[in-house]
Amino acid sequence: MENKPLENLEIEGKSSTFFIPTVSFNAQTGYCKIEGESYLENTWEFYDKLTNWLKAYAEEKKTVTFNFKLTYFNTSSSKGILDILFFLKEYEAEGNPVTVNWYYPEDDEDNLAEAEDFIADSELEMNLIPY
Amino acid sequence: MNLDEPNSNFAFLSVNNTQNHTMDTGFNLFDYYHLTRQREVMIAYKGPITDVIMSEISRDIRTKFANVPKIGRKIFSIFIELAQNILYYSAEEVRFGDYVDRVGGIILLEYSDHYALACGNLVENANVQDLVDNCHKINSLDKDSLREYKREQRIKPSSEKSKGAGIGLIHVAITAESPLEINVQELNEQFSFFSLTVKIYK
Repeated sequence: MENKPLENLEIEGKSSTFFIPTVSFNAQTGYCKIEGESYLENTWEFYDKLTNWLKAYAEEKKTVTFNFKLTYFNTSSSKGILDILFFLKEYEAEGNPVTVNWYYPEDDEDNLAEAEDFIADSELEMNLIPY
Repeated sequence: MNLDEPNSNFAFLSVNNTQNHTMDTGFNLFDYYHLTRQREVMIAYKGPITDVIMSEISRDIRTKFANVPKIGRKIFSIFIELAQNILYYSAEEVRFGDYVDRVGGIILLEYSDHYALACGNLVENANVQDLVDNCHKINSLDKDSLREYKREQRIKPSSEKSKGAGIGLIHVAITAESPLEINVQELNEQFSFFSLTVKIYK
């Protein structure tokens, strides 16, 4: 059976009735970015799609650089984000190179506190970067 | 007084004459208007909570707080969680053809040193105690313990009944940095009206 190469995952962010973050996952470089606001009609479906892409990418045991730059996410989305972090932690524990950057607005302490709680939950190191 | 007084529909327009035109058989828009016309009221909504309504009110909050983004972010985030609770869990439903919407009320007030966001909806009496207990538990915890409680609950697999992460109220208390003020009024043997108010200090 022929293996189809993994394609990049691109989702255009949109703010209408719901807030869809911009997603850009690169299948060659492992550079992944999720940016904007996350409040979705079907949260589980959306985040499962991201986690499934990462699982497919992880088959090749390549480097992952994951960048979060979310200015708003509701509590349901936070559960989806945590699932991504759990997977990255597992991938890292298997000996694969993983870097995670969490960007937050410098005046937004709540956003920083969320990131700290994600670190505590996932036990995954993240670089906390104010902007 | 004639209960079928035809002019009663115009009670709202007959302010000086309300005694003669009290609306006994229908909706008194004047009472509603009077309650919500107070200076403190920034936003008042009662009715079916839909995704579209939520989106519009949330945008309105952003616009109103454009000059104080820090407070705006908090109120926006609290609003979404509280409105979503109504959207998912209110025991009152209205049907329009194939659509079923859940009903509740949301009000945003401004006072000299704080804002207050209040929401209310019907709850089945059988569910009231759990809800009240959860609020009391949340109010008994300091900020660090609340963060821990939120993490504990978030990590649990979602229950079948839950459509979200099940941590909305904990998130509201953390974000508001003030307790959940709750009020329960039993309406009949099946339903109670549950209301919750949080203050967000300026």
